This record gives sequence, structure tokens and C-alpha cells, in this order.
Amino acid sequence: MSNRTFTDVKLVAEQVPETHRTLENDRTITTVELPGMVTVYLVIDGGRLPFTQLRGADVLEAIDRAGAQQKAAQEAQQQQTATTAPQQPAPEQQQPPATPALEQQQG
Amino acid sequence: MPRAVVLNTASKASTTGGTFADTLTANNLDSLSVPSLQSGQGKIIRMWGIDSASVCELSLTSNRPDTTHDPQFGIRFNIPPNLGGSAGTPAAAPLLEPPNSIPIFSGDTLTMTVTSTAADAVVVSWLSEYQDLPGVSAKFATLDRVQSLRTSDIGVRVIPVASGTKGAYGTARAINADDTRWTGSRYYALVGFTVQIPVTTVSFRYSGWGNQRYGCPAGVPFLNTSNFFLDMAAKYNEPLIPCFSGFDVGNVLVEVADDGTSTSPKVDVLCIECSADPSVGGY
Repeated sequence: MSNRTFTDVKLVAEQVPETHRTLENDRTITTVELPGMVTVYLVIDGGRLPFTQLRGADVLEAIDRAGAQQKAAQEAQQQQTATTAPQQPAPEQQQPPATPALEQQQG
Repeated sequence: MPRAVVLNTASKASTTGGTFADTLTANNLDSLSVPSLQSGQGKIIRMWGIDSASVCELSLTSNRPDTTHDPQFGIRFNIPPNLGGSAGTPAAAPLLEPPNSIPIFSGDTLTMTVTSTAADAVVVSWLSEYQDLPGVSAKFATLDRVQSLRTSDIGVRVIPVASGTKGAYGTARAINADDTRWTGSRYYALVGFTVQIPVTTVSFRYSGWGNQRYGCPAGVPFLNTSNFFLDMAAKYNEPLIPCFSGFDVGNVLVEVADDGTSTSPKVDVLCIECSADPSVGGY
């Protein structure tokens, strides 16, 4: 059998959240949705193989951090664009005619 | 002579980074201070730690050179990152392991500073044994005694979740909250547990242990957690297997602390069921 090369190789991540239930003292059930785990799959020619598993909270935190950094970078770029844009030349102010009293003082 | 073994944890959720620039603070209910001991000695018998993302170095110092060599760096420990090979689920690194131990003295205070990368979470936990801790007469047993009183083995599911703050303990969960197959008239010796996901520290707290914590890490360097407390008893040749009454299961509380938020390791507790109290002094 000859060697086979797989060219369609990619990574896919899937989050499986966890529903956490607690029976309270008053017999009610509190349900909390936890971030659970993110499983990263290696997909080779359509076949999915588990590659690694990450904590869901870590992944969501990293995504939030990246989003915040991107937003901050965009804002900084906008601010820079605003400050470096060519300014409209201010209309030339006409010199008021010298007052006679001033002329007298200077003379 | 009330003997006690106590778990403490110190952590920092987000370090500023730099050479020994961050000092860890004790978690809720925990302390970096050695309690006032009437007599006898204390010693740290086990210690483990974690950094959430990067390499880390811990400096442990104490008030006196009998515990740690000097006040500058004392004992330095390295904490490698991502033990277990996955960036998202690192496990704690063993720092102090049996048969080694470090003596500690009444009223002293431990200081833990770390060199880390900014925004990392660092968590360090340790077990201290006190020969005579006033107010506490902890129920601990030897393996021989537990085996001689054995009626059965039981594995019970409990699902504590770590806090939304990195390093902190989450909400305490009773050991009968998720699985109620305990028998009131029996005693249980907690020999260990297994988890689905690595977690820095699993804490057990019970009035029969003076409401002090007892616990251990779970992750790649500590794969054999199903026998953790039993192994401790064998390695130190001391009663180090915690016990509790079947009537008290609602007061045995399980908590987890991790370097990530909301980690849910799903703890399956492994106990030997006994016909009578196997603890030292309990028979």
C-alpha cells in the first residue's frame, strides 16, 4: 500500500456547556449553566479525531480578551486618523484699520 | 493531645508579574499563619502549586531559619507550566512530597511570593500536621484499623464547582448532595477520589475534623488520587485517613479551587464503609 497524503486537514472546536443543578434546602432546584469544556478536533478528510480538550471558561476568556484588544486597537486607530487628518485652513482674519489714536501714539 | 491535619491554600487571581513581585494571600477560611500550638510540633507534609499559563517560581519564607533557611528567598520551588500537555487544563506540580516535611512553629507566619507572568493565576496548597491543636480532635484512621472494620467499599458522586474567581474555592457542596447512598449507622473512611477534569485542589471539610480542611490535588502528576489518603497513611506510617459518620454526611463539605474559573471536575469519592468508628481514639 502506497503512502497517502491528506491535504484536507483542519481544526474544529466544539463547546459542550454543563448544566449544574443544586437541590436547595427548600427543595427547589437551582440550575446554573457552566462553560463546560471545549473539545478541539483534528479533521482529516472529513474524519474527526479528538485532539485536545480545553476548559470552556479559558476559551471564552481568551475570546473576550481578544475582542477587547481588537476594539481598543480600532479605537486607537480612529483617534490617530482623526488627529492626523488635514485640518481646514482657518479663514484669514482681516487686519482692522489702525485707529487714529493709535497712530498718534506711535507717531 | 488533639491531633489535626489541615489543608490551606493561598492564591492570586491575576498576578502583576515580575521577579517575586506578587504575594499570595490565603483563601477564604484558610491561613498562612501557624496556629497557636500548646505543645508538640507542626510540619508541612505536602505542598503543590500551579500557574495558569506560564512558568512560575515560588519563594516560601518563614519567621525562623528552622523552617526556611533565610528571609530573602527561603525555599524556592519551580512550577512548570501546562503539566499534562494541554494549555487549557494544566495540573498542579508537586512541590513538597513525602517522606520530606518542613517543621513549622506556633504563631509563625508563612510568606509566599511568586515570579510569574502578568495576568496569570497562581494557586499553592499545602497540608500541615499538628500533634496538638487545641479544640480539634480530628477523626483520622490507619489502614489496618479501617480494613479490620470494613463492611464494604463505596464510590459516591459529588459535583462541586470552582469559584468564578481564579484560585478561590467555589460553593461548598455536601458529600450527599448528588448521591445519597450513605448508611447512617456506618462509618466511612475516605481513601481518595477520582475526577474527570484536572483541578488544583479538592478540599473536604467536616466538623469531626474540627471544621478544618483536608484534601489533595488532582491532575497528571497526581493520577493515583483514588488512594491518595491511604498512600499518605502508608508513607508516613500515621493515621492520615479521614473518617466520618454516616449520620453526618450532610456536614462533610467538598470544595474545589482551581487556576481557572468554574471548573467542574465531578468528584467520585472513594470510601471504605466500616461497622464502627475506625478513627484513632474512636474505639
